[in-house]
Amino acid sequence: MIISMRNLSIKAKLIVMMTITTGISMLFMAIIISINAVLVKHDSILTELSTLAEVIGSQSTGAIEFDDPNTAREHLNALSVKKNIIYAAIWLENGQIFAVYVPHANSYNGLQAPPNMFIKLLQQLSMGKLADTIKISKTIYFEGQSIGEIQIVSSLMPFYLHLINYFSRVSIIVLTCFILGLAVSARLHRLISSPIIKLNRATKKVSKDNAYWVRIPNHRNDELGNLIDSFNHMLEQIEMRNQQLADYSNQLEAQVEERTVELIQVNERRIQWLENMAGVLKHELKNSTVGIKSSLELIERRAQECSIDVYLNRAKKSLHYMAILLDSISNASSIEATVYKESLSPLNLTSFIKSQADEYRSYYPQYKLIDQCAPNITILGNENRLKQLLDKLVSNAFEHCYSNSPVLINVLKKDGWVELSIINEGISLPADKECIFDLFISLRDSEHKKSDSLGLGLYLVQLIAESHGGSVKAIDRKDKEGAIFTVKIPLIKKSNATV
Amino acid sequence: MNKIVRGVTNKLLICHLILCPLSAQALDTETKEDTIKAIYSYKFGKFTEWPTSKLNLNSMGFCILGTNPFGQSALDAIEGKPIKGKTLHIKFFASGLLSSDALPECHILFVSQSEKHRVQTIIDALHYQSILTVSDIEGFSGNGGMVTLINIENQIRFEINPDNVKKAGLLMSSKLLGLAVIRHNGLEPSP
Repeated sequence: MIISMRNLSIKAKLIVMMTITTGISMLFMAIIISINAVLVKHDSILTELSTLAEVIGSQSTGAIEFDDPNTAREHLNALSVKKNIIYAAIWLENGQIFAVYVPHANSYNGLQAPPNMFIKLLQQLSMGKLADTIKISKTIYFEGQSIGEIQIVSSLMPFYLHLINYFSRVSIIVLTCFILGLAVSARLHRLISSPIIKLNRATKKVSKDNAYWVRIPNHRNDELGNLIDSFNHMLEQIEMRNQQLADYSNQLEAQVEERTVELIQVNERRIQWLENMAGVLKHELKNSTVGIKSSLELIERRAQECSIDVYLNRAKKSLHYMAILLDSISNASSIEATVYKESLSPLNLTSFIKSQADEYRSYYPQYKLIDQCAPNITILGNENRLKQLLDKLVSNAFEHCYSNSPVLINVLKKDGWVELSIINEGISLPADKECIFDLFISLRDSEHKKSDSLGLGLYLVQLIAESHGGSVKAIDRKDKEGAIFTVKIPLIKKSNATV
Repeated sequence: MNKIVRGVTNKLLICHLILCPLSAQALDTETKEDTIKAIYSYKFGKFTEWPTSKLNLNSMGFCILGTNPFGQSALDAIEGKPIKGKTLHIKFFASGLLSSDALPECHILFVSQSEKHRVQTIIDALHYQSILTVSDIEGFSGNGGMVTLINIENQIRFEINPDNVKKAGLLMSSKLLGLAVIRHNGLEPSP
């Protein structure tokens, strides 16, 4: 029953609880009162009969002593006023019957006989202690000596009739009290259920509509009142925090937007400045170069001294280096200015690497190149830029490897990323390898000679890797001398695969 | 002569044998009646209250004045019986010999038929002392006595004069009075 009550509403639960409690209490009380009434009534009958027996026995002592049964009979006949008495008799000490009383009509005052079923039920409940009749026997004493015995037999039918009337009254009273209790409990349950129901409604509204502005009116000072106050306070706190969060969010968004605009503007200005600077520098240097070149040609034509040739060659060599420098700066500024603006498209990296490896093998037959690619690796990328990246890393590996040692291109998938590693066996990375990807930094010697590199290649590699959402790092090999350059690029997401 | 004597003797014997059962039956009836009277007289005492001054002896006295009307079995039926927590002792007084010294020892006085003509004298001699007077003399309770035993249709009943009982300072139970024919002084007896 308790389990089936669990799903009832709090209102129904309270009513059922109060009803059951009241019902059980009333029933228990009715049973106790009825049992008490039965016992009291039965005892009163016994007491009454006992008293009658004592009185009549005492009154009859003279009659017994003087052998006057008529007087004794007269005494017994006084019992006729008690309609429930159906037999009475006095016996002498020797067992001889002395006087007998039997009423004329063996009826109990003409009352309707109680139902047999009721009598049987009561007799069964009393475990045989109640019968149809009740018998009292009393010894008659005179002067301390037993002189006879009086016996009175009474019918219990009036007793059963009385009990029926009593039970009817008790049942009506209990039923009335029960109905009253039910009516009162139907009103009183609101004291508890009403605030809980309000709380429940408010909670539902809050959870469904995020209506943190909801408040439950409270006019109580009990535990439920405290609960409502706490609930209202909690909603108030949540609402306040939400407002603060919204304010912070808006403020943050505004700041981010403002900062983004600023950064874009700064970046555009920087790019513009770089482009301008590269263009101006190129133009000015080119003009200067033209002047220098023409001057050198004039000098070459007019002067035939051998010593001048040395200086001329040196000036030419510087001129050549300046031209290379100009191209590199122009190229770098061009890439830096455009690489982040270029669109990326799905690219099968496996095929791309294999194709490039074949090309490198044909261009550089003097080097041994090995490619190991995981199948079907697709990324979002710019093929031209990736070609530049791979060209630089492979040429770098060839440049710094020992003769006849292999260069390995390894491509594998790892946790949503592609790791493209170029591994060679040769000169180790310099101690300050953290700066290796910085602009205009060239740290390694090539074949024990100072390289004429401007330090733009690895800077561009880093630029291209970052423009693909990835990164690049360089470490020394652990198994032998040599270096590993690893580029990490994110794998294409499924949603972008069809783009 | 001897034959004559023997013949008369035989006739008397035959006569005795014929008449003897009748006289025995009469004797039994009489014996039973006197026993009942003795027992009744004793039981009257059970329903009577004496003043405490009268109960300072260890025994209760049942005094018979005049010729003893009770057989031995009747006397045996009451001798030594308890009454008011004391033992009943029977005392005999010859006709007219009720001395004032003996009066304190008597609680119940049965006046025999032999004192029929001296009832008034006896009553006067008692001088309303606390003694329950019982007799089977006709009109005893109407002449200063307290209880008169009467044979009504072979049933022994009794007549009580509550006035005389009261005068003697005795209290008689209503249980006894309810069984008796009540006779007040100067009035006809009422059942």
